Amino acid sequence: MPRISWKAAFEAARLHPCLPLLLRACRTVEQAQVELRWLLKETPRSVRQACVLRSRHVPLQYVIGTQPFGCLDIVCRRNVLIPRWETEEWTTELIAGINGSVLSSVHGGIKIYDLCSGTGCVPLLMKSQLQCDAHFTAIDVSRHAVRLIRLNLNRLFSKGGSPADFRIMQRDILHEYPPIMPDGRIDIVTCNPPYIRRQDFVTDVQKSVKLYEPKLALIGDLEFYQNLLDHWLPRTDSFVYEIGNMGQFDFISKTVRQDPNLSQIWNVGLKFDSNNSPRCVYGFKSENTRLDYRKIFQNFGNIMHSCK
Amino acid sequence: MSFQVLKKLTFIRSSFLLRFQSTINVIDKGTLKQLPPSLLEKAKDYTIKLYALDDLISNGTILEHEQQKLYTRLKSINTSLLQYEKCIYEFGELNLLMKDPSLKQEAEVELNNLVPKLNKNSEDLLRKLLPRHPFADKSCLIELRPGVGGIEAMIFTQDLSNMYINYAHKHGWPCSIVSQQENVSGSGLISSILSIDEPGSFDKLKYEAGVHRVQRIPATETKGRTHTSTAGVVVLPQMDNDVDVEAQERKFKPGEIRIDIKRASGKGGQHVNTTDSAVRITHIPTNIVVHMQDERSQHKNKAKAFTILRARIAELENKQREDKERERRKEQVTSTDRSDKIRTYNYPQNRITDHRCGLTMHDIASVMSGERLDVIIDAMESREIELQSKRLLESK
Repeated sequence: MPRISWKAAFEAARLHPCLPLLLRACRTVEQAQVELRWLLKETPRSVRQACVLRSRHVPLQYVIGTQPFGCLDIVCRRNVLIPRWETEEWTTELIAGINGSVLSSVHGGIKIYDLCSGTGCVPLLMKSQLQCDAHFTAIDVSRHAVRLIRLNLNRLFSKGGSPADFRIMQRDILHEYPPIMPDGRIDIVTCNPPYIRRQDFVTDVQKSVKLYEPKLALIGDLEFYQNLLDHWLPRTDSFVYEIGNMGQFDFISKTVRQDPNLSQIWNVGLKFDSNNSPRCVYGFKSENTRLDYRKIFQNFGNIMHSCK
Repeated sequence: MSFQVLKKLTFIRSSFLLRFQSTINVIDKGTLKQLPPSLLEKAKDYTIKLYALDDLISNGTILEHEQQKLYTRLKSINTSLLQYEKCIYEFGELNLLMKDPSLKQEAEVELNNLVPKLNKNSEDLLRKLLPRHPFADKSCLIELRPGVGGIEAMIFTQDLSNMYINYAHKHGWPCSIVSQQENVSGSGLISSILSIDEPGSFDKLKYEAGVHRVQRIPATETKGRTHTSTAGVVVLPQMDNDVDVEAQERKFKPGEIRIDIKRASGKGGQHVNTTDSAVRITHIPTNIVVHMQDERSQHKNKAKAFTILRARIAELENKQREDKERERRKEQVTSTDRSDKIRTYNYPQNRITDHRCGLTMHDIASVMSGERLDVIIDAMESREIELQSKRLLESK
């Protein structure tokens, strides 16, 4: 990262006394000005205090307290991962796919599980945007996350009491015994697991993330994808998992392809984000399913392994 | 009928009877606004159409949406026409009474009351007869940009922006700043987009489009010289208030728009948490580009950009249509022309002059606070009506 020149700092100070503080986190005067405008509009504390926090690389979302996610404002707190735009992007596209192909008259509504839910942003956005009936289960291991999901749920959908179609569970999906047994088949499993490898954490991760966001939600490699293959694949008709690198996609796709049973019934696809990085691995069965997954995932990504 | 009366009255005036003086003043040709016969003919045509529709309804036919709209319009024209005719009839009667010396005084009072009423009715009818602007019932977006004059122009842009906000507040219209870029090295605005969310506000504010010129001693001037600066105003119709981005996007053909999103290079995902919400939408057929980065939410930025894009496209299409019509008429500049300066704000003389309708007011403060902007807008409106009726007569 290049040093901030004295000239830039002086120029910033002339525009606004707090701007040089923001410069440390934003690196360019333009970006700092944009952030200052947001802070002036939205920060719950004094602007100066907020800028001091930002100069210590506290994420903007923790300073302001919310992060827009689709059309929702999701409350963010320390110890819980901030929703990313990549997640927002694939969630929006998934919702568009479901709305474009699923009729509202699915018997009993569709059943959606969200693992490693964090703020609960994925199922919350789905709840607000899906046109068909749906039941959501959000699972996270962290008590901070579970508390935040409940807070967000009540804040967004509190009219007429707590909604009955949204379940929140504090469970450890990797190590808990006995494992979670869903009642009946799941239609879609979504998950944004920690996917930054430990050896990459020091070099590849932005300072603000490294210092302030929970490592529990960041560091991981294949364990959640292994858990998907072992535990969730037999219980669901489709899944969408966010990924951080191609290794994680290859792991899923290779295992499915090499397994004589799985390769017969599962299609596996890869989705890139609008920054052209591999972002999602998704899969669906094509037979004996309630929903037309081929249509749902039509514009989602590229199918890399087809079951026939 | 009334023309004959006028003739008679002129004759009376020529007989130098002093006690008739006041009556003559009242029915002076200048104060009495009568519609030309050809327009009345047109109104009567509409009435015939109305009766045809009435017949349809009484036969139990259900009108289509377009027909229903036409019916309401015809009905309101008819009402105005009836009122107008009633006034004209009364006017004729009263003038007959004027001949009778015993009833003359009462008739005079009646006439004094009747003439303004008649004028109002005739104006009303005229307005209804003229073709409505296609966006007349839309709400509007106002885009402001400084022209020549450096920082002073930016300050003037700020003043104008405040004027429109005040004007909206005065009328109780909801209004918001869609996007605003402040001048970082001093005061003033580099660009500003206001949204006035009142149906029909476009009809009022459309006359504001054009170049506004200011003459004053700027706050930045040290030697006390008067400067002339300008600011450009564009008024766009808001096509709909659809907040749903998906729905907005669906209104365009695939491949017609391109959405670019500013993204930092690098790993992305959980590795970074910077907010990159800037959106740029390009409409490929017209090459209109809208850039929006004001909000933290990309979703909102997109929605705003779509609103502005749709407004600009609609305005462009409207302008092309108007140009085509004008070419057909082979007629010179009309009020919608925006290339020229339309108004001058002269602070040292406390004067505002609208160059299109030639109106001059000596009260800058109350106009800039939005209080008396209506005076100028009303003047423009009546000039527009005059022009249009002239055009209507020519096309007859």
